[in-house]
Amino acid sequence: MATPESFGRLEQRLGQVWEIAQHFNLDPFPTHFEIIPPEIMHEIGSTGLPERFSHWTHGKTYRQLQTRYNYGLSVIYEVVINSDPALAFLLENNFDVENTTIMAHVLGHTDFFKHNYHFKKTRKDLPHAAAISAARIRDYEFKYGREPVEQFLDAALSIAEHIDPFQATRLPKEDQLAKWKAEYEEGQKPKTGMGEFDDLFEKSPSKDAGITKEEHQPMPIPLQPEKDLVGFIADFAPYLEDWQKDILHIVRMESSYFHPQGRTKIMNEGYATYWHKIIMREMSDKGFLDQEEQIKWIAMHTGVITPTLKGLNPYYFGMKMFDFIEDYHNGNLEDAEKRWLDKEKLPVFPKYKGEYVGSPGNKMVREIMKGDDDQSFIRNYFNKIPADRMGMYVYEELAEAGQKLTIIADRGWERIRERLVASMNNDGNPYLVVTDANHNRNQSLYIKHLYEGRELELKYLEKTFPHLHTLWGRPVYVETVVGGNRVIFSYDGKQISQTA
Amino acid sequence: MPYIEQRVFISREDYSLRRSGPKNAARHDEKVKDAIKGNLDQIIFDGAIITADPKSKKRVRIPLRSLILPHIIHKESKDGVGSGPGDVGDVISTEPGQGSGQGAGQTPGQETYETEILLEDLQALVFADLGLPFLKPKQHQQLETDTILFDDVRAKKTPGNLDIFRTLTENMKRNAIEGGEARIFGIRPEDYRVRTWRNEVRQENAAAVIFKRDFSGSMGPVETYLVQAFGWWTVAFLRSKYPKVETAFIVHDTQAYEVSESDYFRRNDGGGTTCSSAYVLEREIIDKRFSPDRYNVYSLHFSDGDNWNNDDQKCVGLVREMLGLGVAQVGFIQVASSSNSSLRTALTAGIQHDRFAAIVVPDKKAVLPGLKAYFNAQKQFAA
Repeated sequence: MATPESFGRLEQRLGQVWEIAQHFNLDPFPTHFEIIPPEIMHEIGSTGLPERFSHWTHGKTYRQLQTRYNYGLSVIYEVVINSDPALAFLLENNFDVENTTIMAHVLGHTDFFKHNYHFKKTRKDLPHAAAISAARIRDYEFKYGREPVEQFLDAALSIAEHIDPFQATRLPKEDQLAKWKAEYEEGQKPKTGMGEFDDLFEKSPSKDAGITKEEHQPMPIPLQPEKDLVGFIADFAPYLEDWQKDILHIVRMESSYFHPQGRTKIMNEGYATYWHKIIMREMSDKGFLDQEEQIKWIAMHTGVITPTLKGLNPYYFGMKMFDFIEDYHNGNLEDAEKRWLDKEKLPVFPKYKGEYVGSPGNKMVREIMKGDDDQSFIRNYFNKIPADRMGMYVYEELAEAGQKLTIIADRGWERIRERLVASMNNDGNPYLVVTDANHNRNQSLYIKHLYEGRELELKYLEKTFPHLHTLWGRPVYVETVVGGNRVIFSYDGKQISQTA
Repeated sequence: MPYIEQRVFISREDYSLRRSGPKNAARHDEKVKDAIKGNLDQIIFDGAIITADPKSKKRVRIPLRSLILPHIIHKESKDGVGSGPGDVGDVISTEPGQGSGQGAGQTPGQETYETEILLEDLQALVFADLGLPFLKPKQHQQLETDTILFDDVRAKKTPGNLDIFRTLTENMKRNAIEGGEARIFGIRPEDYRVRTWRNEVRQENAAAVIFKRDFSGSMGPVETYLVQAFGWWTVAFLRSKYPKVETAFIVHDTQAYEVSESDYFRRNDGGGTTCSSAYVLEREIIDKRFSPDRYNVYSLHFSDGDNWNNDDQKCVGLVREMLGLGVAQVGFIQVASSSNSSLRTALTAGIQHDRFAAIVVPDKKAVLPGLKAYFNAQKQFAA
C-alpha cells in the first residue's frame, strides 16, 4: 500500500532503477511516474489516454476491468503514454517491489518510444491534445445534444483504424483538389515520349495539342486510391457539419497516435520485459532487494511471461527474441544451435567473455530495436533457434463430431514465420481504399478491399455499413472477394444489396 | 531539483474527484438497458430465465450483440501459432460446438458481449407495460398489501438516514429561539432529523386468474414451450404487481383436471382434445370460489386450437355465459402457427365482445406482444 513512507521508498527505488538503467545505456524520454488508485488505472486503461473523450465503449471496458479486478482475476500492471515527457501510472495497491519492477519495465518502453523509428513522427504532446479534443467534444454535446454526438462518434470510431499512417497531415480540401487537378492535367497530356519536342514530329500540332472537350474525362476523386478513409471522408463527405468534420479529425489524430504502438507491440513489450529482467537482476546482485522481494518480483515476472498454447504472448515472445539476439551476438548458443547455423551457412559469433554492458549483444539489442516493426522484426530475426527455444508451432482448428479440435499442424520455423508475418499485414486490418467519391455520378462512395487472401467477416461489414452511411450521407459501396469471386456490397441508407 | 531537469520523477495526485470512469460506465449501462428493452421479445423466452425461481436473487446472463461497436475486420482464421509441448497431430484443446465456420446466428471467436441483470430488474422492464384490464373494486373482499413508503421524517438518530437539510434547519430554529440568532452552530442530538419509513396498508382489488392449458397429443414441444413461457411470465407479472391475486390451474385433453401450479407447467401426457371440458371445470371453480361480484376474474385458455369436431360451439356458449356473469376478461391464446384453427375461428365468429381477446402466438417473438395484448391496462370500463 502506498503510504507517505512507502512513497519515499518508491522514490528511492526509482533512483536505484534509473542508475542501473543508465549504466546499461538506456536513454529514455524524461519519464513521469504517477501513483494512482485502481479505478483511475482502469479508466486510463479503458481509454488509453488520460483525459480522453467519453464514449460508452470506454465505459464497457472500464466496467470489465473493474469487475475482473474485483474478482481478483487480473490486474493491469502498467499504463505508459508515449509523450515527451512520458507518463506512466503505477497502482497504489501494488507491493513496492512490483512497482519497482514496473518502473524498470516502463523505462524500457520510454527508451523504445524515443528511439524506435516508427515513433519518430508521432506528436509528443498527445495527452494535452487529447484533453483539448475531449473538451471540444463535450462542448458539442452541450450544443447539439448528447445523442447526435454519440451517434456520430460511434460511426467515426467504427472505421478509426483505416487511416494512412505514413501521411500524418492532410492538405485542406481546396488545396488537395487543386493539387490533384494539376497532376491530372499533366497526366492527360498526350504521351509521345518526348514532351517538349512534340512539335518536331510528323503529327500536326492542331490535332494533338491538348485534349478536345469530348475526350476530356472528369477528374476522378480521389485521383489515386486513398487509404485514409477517415481523413478522406472528413474532407470530402457532402453533408458534414463543421463539428462533425472536427470529430473525424480528432478520431484520426488519436488513431495515428495509437498506430505505431499497435505495429510494434511485440517488440516494445519484449524489449521492456527484457530490460526489467536485467535491471531487477542487477538490483538483486547489488543487494538492494531482500529475499522476499526477490521471490515476489520473480513470481510477477513469471506470470507476465507465461506462454500460451494458442496465440502469442507479446511479453514472452518479444523477450525471448531479444534474449536470442543477445545470446547470438555474444556467442552464447548451445552446440546444437551452433551446428544449425553452420548448416544454414549463417555466421556464428565467438563467445564473448566480458561484462554485459558494451558487449556485442547489448549493442545489437539496442540497435535492432530502433529500426524494425513487429513484422520486419520477425521476418529478419526469427529463425529455428528462437522457434525451438519457445516450443512454437502452427496449429489448426478442425470440426469433428460436433466438437472443435485444435491440433498441432507444423513445427517448421519457416511456416511459423510465414504465418506470423502474413497476419501482420496492415497491422492485421483489411486494407481498404477509397477509389471513387462520385460513383454512379451521384456522389456514392466506392471503397475497395485490396484482397490478399483473407476474406472479410461479412456480418461485421453488414453492421458497419450504416455507420459509413451516417458519415458519408450518400450510398456506399464496398468491393471485396468472397469465395474467390469479386463481390460488391452496397448500402443506400435502408438496406444492403449485393452485385457481381 | 526542478522537475524538468530530472529524467525520472514520481508523484501522486488527488484523484478523488475524477468521475470519468464511472461516468462512461454509467453511459454504457444506460445503453445496456436500452438494448435489453429493445430486445425484450427475444430475451424473455431464454430457457434459463423461464426455469429460474423468480423469488431467487438470481442474475441472468443476456447476450447483447448490439453493444459491440462494429469494425470492418477479417474473418477469424482457422489456424494460428502457439507455444507448448506435443508432437505434430496432437490435440491441444477441445471445445464443444462447430468449427470456426460461421455458427448459426453468432459470429465465432468475436466477442459476444453478455451482460448480467437481476431477474427482478429484467422482470420490471417486461412488466412496465403490463397491467390488469377491466379492473373493478369489488364490494366484499378487500385484500391488503404492505407497502413501504420512505417519506416520514422523525427525530431518531440513525446516522445513515440523517436528513441534513432538516437537521440544520432545526438547529437554526433552536439557535434563533435560544440565542436570538438563526445560525448553524452547536448541533446537538435533539436537532437530528432522520428519514425513516412507515408501513402503509394499501387496498388491492381482489382478482383471480384461471389458467387453462391444452395438453393433448397435438400440443408438441414447441407449442408446450410457448405456453410455458407465456404462463411463466404471466405468473411472475401477477406475483410482482398483484401479490395477493388468486390463481387456479387447469389442464385438459378430453377431460379437464385442476392441478397445482408446478404440475400445470409440467404435465404432458395428452390424448385427444375436448376444449369445452376445461371451460366447464373453470365455470365450476368460478361458481364455487371466485364469484365475479367478489373477484375480478381473468380467464386464459392456451391451445393450438385443434378441437374435437362438434365441441367448438359448446365452447362459444360457455364463454358467452362467463362474459355474461361478469368475468373481467376472457382470453383464447392460440400457440404455434398463425393459421385459423377451428376453435379460434368459432370463437372469433361467435363472440364480439370487448372483454374477449383472441390472441395468436405463433413463435417466441410473439410472446411479449401477446402478454401486452391480454394484460392491457388501458382497457378499462368506461367511467
